[in-house]
Amino acid sequence: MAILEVNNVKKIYTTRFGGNQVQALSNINFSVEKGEYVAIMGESGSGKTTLLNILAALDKPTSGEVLLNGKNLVSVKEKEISAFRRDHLGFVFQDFNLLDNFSLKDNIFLPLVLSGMDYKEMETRIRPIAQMLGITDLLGKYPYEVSGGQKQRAAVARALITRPELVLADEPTGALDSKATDGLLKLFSQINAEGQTIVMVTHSTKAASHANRILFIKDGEVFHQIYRGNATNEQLYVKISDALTVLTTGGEDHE
Amino acid sequence: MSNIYVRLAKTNIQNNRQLYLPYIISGIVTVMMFYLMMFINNNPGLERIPGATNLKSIMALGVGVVAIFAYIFIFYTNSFIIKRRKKEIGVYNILGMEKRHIAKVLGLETVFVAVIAIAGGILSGIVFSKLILMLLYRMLGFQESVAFFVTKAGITEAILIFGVLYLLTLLYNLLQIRLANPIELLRGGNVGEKEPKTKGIMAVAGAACLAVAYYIAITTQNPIEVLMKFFLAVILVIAGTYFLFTAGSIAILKMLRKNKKFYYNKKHFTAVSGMLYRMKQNAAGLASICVLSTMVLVMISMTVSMFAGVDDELKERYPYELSYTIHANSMEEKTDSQELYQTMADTIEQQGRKITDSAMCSYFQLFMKKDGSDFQLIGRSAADYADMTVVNFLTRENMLADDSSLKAADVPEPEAGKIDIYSKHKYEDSEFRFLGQDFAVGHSFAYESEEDSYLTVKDILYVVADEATLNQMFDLQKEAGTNADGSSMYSQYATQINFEYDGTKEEKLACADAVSKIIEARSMKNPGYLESRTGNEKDFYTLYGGLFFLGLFLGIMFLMVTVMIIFYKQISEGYDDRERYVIMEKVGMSNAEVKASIQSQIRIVFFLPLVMAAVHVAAAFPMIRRLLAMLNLTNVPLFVTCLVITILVFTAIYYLVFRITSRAYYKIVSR
Repeated sequence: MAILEVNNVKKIYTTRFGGNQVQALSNINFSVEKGEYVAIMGESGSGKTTLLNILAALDKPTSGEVLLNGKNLVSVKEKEISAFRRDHLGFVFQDFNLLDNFSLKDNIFLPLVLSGMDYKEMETRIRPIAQMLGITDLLGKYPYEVSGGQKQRAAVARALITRPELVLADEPTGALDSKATDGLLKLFSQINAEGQTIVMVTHSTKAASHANRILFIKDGEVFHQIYRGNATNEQLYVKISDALTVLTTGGEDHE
Repeated sequence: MSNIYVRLAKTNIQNNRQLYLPYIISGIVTVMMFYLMMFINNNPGLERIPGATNLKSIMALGVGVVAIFAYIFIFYTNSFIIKRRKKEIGVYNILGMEKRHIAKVLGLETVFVAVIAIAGGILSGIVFSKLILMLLYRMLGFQESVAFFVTKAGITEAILIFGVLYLLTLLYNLLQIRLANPIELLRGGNVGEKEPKTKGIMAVAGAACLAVAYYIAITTQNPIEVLMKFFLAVILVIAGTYFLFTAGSIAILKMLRKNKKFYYNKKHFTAVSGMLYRMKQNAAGLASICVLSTMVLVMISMTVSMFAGVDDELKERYPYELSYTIHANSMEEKTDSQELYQTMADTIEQQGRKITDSAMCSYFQLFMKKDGSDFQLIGRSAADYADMTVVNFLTRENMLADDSSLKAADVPEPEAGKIDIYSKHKYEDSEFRFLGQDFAVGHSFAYESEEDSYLTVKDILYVVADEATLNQMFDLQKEAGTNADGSSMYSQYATQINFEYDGTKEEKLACADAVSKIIEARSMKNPGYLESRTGNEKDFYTLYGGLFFLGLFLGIMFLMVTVMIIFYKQISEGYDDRERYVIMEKVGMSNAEVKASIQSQIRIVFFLPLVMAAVHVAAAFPMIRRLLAMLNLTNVPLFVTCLVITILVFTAIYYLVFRITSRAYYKIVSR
């Protein structure tokens, strides 16, 4: 069953003065099955971020529809959109987006507090997640007291604690060193193995090689996709590299 | 080459006008106020106002206060601006400007600001000076045309004092830049701030300071003590407020955070942690706002009520229109007072005035100290008021005349040869030992006249006896009070003759003049002194009008300072909070929730100082009431009315400022 369906999504930005129109997404179509781990790749300016913003309900498409569990994101009322995002989506950002004035634990609790959950329920929820992410001992610390990798794990915990249908990750390894990157990608695979659907936007081949499926976006369209099949991460890495080479050089031939 | 620095300095100020405009305007207003104070102080026309010396000393005080506050306030504003601009300066540094080049630009900027503020302030001071003097004259009820006048001293002192001030701000800014490296500058204001630590001792000290200050304000009865302890209380309140806002608020917020049920609630979660996070940098600002608000409220309500009640005060100070006091060395000399009374009454009636009330009272008064059981004389100048007992000696008739609220039945005729004692603490002994001699006490009563309730001494005794006994006591003290070296500290018989009569002001003055001439014509050895209420009215108006004027003037200045602190606080918080709210929106906080959270936070942070100021004023109320009583204002309802109106007006202005600055805050946060 498809948990996420993106049909004919188009996004046109109009500059404020002069009415110059920029087409960020021309026609995007894809779907994500429950339990899938999808990476979306593309160069800067390809429309990745626009797409992610639309998936995250932070932005609305000019036309087309985005269905999450059959519910059209475009039609969710403005008032309910924040609650909807909180309840159905989890976010992991490149720069962590942790609040300095909260301890890690309070940062993780933030979406639950906003949903008005009982404190005891929050405590029972955080325990297994913190254990899995290996941050149980760090919960009382503040973001400025821990490393980048630890911050990102706290951010992952914050994304998971609402038990969202879909986790959206925007360049989650972008600000991490290689060791922390390996750790985080392993975690993502583990989370996915436990049934969590993940959509990750990245331009790191290494990050993408951990996914089940890789979508390539170019000029606002889904240009190509690769299924893992039975390939190992390393084999997948090579496939992605090849595809990227075609994407960049082949693009020129195409013109 | 130098041109580029000038251009850079100019554009810098223009680009940061959101920060610089209020800074420059408040600089102009402060300089203007300073000039106006100097102008009033140095105006030659002032000499012609009755009671000008009082007014001059009031204005000199005003000049000092304005100067001190200008220093504190402009320094505060400047340090805030330079903190916000660090990033910009860091960019210059990285682009290749050396620190001495930056110093040059900053120096030019300071020169621009200083020139605009000082020149603008002096100019607007000169423009408004005539208006303000006319206003002052009106308040004082002084009719005189106001000539245009420019005070040179005002200009030179304004340039000197404020020039030095701006130079100091420049030095401070240069020091800030010297100490920082480009990376630090680039990071600017948002250095990852750590959670503030709980300072238990400080919180306790703050609470203790306030408790002591409140205790002093509420319990101090003695007027001299009120005067001395008032400043102690003020200092304690200021210190206590600062301590409490810095430490107490953090302690309370941490307590709230420990309460999981309360803390992990949508309404409180972000507000509590947000306030906790910003309390460290904000506490001083909030405490300043609180202290300034208290000052504005107290000062304006006091001076307004004093000015509004000036007629009451005049009556309080001069209960009778005409009052003549004469001293005599013996009872025999004293007896012609009856004849004097008649002469005065005749003169008044000859002037065509109708006497509506009159009183005559003779007594002698001694300052004594109870030494064991014996009352001994002490000098009038004795500093130890706490041990002093004032003893008034008078006949029953004079006792009744002295306090018109006493009825005949209240004061029984004393038995011959015995004395009756009226005092605050009922006299319990059966003997009154006076300079070594015992007098039998007939009756004793607990009594305190309204007038006496403002006196500071240990006790006040009224000894009522027949004339023979009084004479005996008078001679005793005369003997005891004459020192071997010829100096004396004995008392004389004082006789007060009071008249109240009708008429216009001019008629009353003419009548007082006539009485004065009659008394002079008698060329007595001991002429006594004559006081006319109408004659002193102008002095009174000048004093209270001057205080009122100063109160309003400084009140406005403090208000301006308060508004500026609030404004800059909001702006700086806006920049600090912007990122945090962006993150919260990404994590799933709706726009409405963000707004609500901001609102509740701002509201608490904003109205906390106001509430605290109101508490301060309430606690200070008994002390202020006594201070006002010393200044002859005993009309408590009038003061309460003025206080309430002042608080309401202040709250309205405060709310307006709150609305305007929160809008500026939203703009920054939601950009």
